[in-house]
Amino acid sequence: MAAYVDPLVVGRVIGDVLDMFVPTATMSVYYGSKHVTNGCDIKPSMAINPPQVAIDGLTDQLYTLVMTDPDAPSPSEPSMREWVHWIVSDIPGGTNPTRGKELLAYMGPRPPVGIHRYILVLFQQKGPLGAVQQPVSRANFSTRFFADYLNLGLPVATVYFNAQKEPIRRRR
Amino acid sequence: MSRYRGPRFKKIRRLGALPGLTSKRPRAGSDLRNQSRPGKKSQYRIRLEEKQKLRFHYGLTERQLLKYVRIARKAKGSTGQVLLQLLEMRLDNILFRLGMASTIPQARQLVNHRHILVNGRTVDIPSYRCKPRDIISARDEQQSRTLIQNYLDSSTHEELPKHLTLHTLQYKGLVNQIIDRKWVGLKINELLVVEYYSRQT
Repeated sequence: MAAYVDPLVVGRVIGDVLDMFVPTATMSVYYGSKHVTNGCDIKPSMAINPPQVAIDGLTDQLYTLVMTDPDAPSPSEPSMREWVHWIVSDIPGGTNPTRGKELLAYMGPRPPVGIHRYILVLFQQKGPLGAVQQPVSRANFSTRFFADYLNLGLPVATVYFNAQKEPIRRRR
Repeated sequence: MSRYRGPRFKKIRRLGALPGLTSKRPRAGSDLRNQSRPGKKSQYRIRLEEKQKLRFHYGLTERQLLKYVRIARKAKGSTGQVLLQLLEMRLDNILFRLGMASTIPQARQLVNHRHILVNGRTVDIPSYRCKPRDIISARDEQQSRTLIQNYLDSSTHEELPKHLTLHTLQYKGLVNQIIDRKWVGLKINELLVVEYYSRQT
């Protein structure tokens, strides 16, 4: 357990976004051929399209996936914490988010300044969520409040990556 | 590597107190000519000034600081905190924090002139990165010990950070652990420095 949670504590994911939890599910995330591990760097150009997410578990279990950025617009002054990038609910275990219900369309990372953390959080649902209201704004979203509101409990798996603005290629 | 040799008071008037650069303090509202112009500081300027604070406090060149930022980016954890840890573990800074020198340029000179031993061996590189359990001591010569004794006597005895231990009578200091963020000797928002370097136009 410690091996899973330690990078999240070091990266301040636990604290800024989530409370301490015990991982009970396995989620693997890929952007193309790049495997997303805690604290790895992903170029925004690689993350334009949604990642391939594989969730282990039984088909009768349903999951909700949330992707947020706690460093918007800048890590030194995160006045929009958290900026929500993606919400998918009712994902059957052993499948991927394409089989779920997209509550909020995917938006790729676009960090304006600084190194931003992008956190993918997986919750196990107690049952089908039914009709869920879409967030009014992507800014000032709270993963804790969202989980509380839908009675999702603590996360079952989490992974985060870093991204920063790519340099503009200048023609000589 | 060349270091900054220009006027120090000019820097602290612009950037605020930099204990590593000079023990002088800017007088509050004394010099009207140097009050920065009214108006809102740009986002770029805020980040630049924070970066300059770090650079002048630790006595680094732009290239050195950029190298440290790159190392910090590769490390696990918060880039800003790793950057501060790397800078705080420099030998010249550790001598300054132990009180064996009253400023970092003074500590650099002690190291350069081969007055300092690390684990019993002479080290004359101010940027040497100290590790936990390193023993920093004065060379076993009268001149070295007198110099350090003078600095120890004249230094303002501020609370020693928790990651260091000083044995005054043996002219010896011990690095206990990697520094914790709250013991960094400079008031700085390290996130702004990381943002300065990640800002690509």
